[in-house]
Amino acid sequence: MVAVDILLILGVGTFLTPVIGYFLGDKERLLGYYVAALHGIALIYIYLNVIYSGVSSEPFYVFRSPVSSALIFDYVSLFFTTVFLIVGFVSAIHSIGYMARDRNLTIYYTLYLMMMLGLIGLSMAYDLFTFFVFWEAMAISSYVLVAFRYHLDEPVEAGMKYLIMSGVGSLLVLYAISLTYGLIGSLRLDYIVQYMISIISFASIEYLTIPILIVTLLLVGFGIKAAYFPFWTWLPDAHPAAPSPISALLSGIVIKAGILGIMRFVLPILIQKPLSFGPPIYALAILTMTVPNIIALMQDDIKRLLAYSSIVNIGFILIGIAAYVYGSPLYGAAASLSHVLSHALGKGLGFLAVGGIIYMMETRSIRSMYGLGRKRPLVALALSMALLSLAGMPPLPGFWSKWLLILSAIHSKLWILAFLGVFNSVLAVLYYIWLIQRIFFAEPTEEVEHAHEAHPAIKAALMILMGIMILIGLYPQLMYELAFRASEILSPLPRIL
Amino acid sequence: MIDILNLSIGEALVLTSVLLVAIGLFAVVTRRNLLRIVIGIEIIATGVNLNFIAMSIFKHGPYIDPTAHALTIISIVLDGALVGVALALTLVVYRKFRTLDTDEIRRLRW
Repeated sequence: MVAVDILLILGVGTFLTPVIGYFLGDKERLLGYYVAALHGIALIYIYLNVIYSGVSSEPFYVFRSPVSSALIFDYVSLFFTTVFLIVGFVSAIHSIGYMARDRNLTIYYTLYLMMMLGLIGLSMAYDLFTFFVFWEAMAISSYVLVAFRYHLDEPVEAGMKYLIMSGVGSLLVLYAISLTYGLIGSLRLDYIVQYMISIISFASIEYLTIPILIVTLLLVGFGIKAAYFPFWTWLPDAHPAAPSPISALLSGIVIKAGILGIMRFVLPILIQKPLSFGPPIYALAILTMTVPNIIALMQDDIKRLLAYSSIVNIGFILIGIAAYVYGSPLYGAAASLSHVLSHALGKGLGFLAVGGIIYMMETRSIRSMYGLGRKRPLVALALSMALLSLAGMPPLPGFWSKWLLILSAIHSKLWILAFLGVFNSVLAVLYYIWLIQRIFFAEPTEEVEHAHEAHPAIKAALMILMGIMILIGLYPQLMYELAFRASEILSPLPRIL
Repeated sequence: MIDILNLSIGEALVLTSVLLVAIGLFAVVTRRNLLRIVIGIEIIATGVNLNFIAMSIFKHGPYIDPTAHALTIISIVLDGALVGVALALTLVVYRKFRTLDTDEIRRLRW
């Protein structure tokens, strides 16, 4: 069973990290290669398995009973593990350079692997409680990673804020899980779906109160992690405060864990029709896209700008989910999934490039990085490529996913959402293009003139991620193939009762 | 109390757990002391764990469904980890800012 094998590889790797770090002593920064190698091994193992034995949608049970915990490795898991492992691999390489001046790197890499273990486990969990256990593993290590440089003020304060909001969010998810257990007697997805099918025939309010409460709690709990509309206040503090490779992970993939939770456990409930959560999701998509986009226009701190742009992109992903709820499940889910991939790559590259800039110049102010393209072309090119992909320039992955998102909104006749999607893309292009223009064409500032050379590991990480982005930009069918196969699992054909 | 409201044990437990979650959420939202907020989170966790046990009472059968207890024990461990990290961070915040008032901490930044 490939899910168990992957968890074993990463789990044993995680618990070996402190031991190896202890024996390495002063050379503990070499652990970065080990962490990157583990990600590579896991990725290669998954794809060898997929090539030789295919992907099965059969869950793996510990024992045959409704209360057993279950793992699965279907196309949804394949999609999310691919995204998580690619970004994790590149960030691990980037960490070798970026974290070279820090201490306590054994702790850093152990927590890093723990977070990746949690994320990979999330994508494979088939029952709510297994999901919750991996969710907490991921969340708790991410709190510590945000506050990793605890000798500075900002990370500590941001980490505390993140911990309080996200901790309450995971407890709300746990409350929903306990209600699900009381209502259905099982936490497994197939039992939940079966129950929802069984109550379709009597859709009266007594039967729907608790399911509505459960879905609301799940949407709020996952929403605090995914940072959509009323719950995004922690994100613009926490993501800039973390070390840059961790920012790339947080913005690229950790907030997608909330989206994964919604896709895996909420959408199969919503598609059974007795509940209609259409209008709230519609409103959330609109507000999440528009409000942070306007705030992002007035940022000078480049990491804060990227953090606000992450919230905007969660809004774009919600367009696909709204399309799913409003009647085109296949296209909606596929569009959301492909935007998850393209945003993970784009935002990952963006934060890693900014990490390179911080490594060279030790500043995050946009004003002091004018003219960077003339002195340090590689990092500036990587940043521009990330921004262009986020803006949706045609040969890059961001264009293909946004195109599918707008198409899915039109396909389910959500004209306002489609229009606002295009409008917000254009609004975002404003500040992206402005930034690129300043980076390449303004006169170099004094800080840029005195910038150091970037660490080779940082350059390597940027080049690998740029290569992957160009590959997916030129062959978008790679992304679409994965996304549509996963979407077929998430959107079953209408059942005949 | 149970007699006055004419509730069964299970209903009383559910009511208690809802109250605990509400009290915890109220504490997290309104209190300004970080330590009190952490205690609020812990109260929510207690309420949620109690809800698991309450739910197992509603199951009819020859024996009590042990799943809820297993899940509760695991979730207590996870809450322990969460609160451990929270208290450690609170300690760092106090050493750094010499205060636990959230408004003060926010003012010190920028």
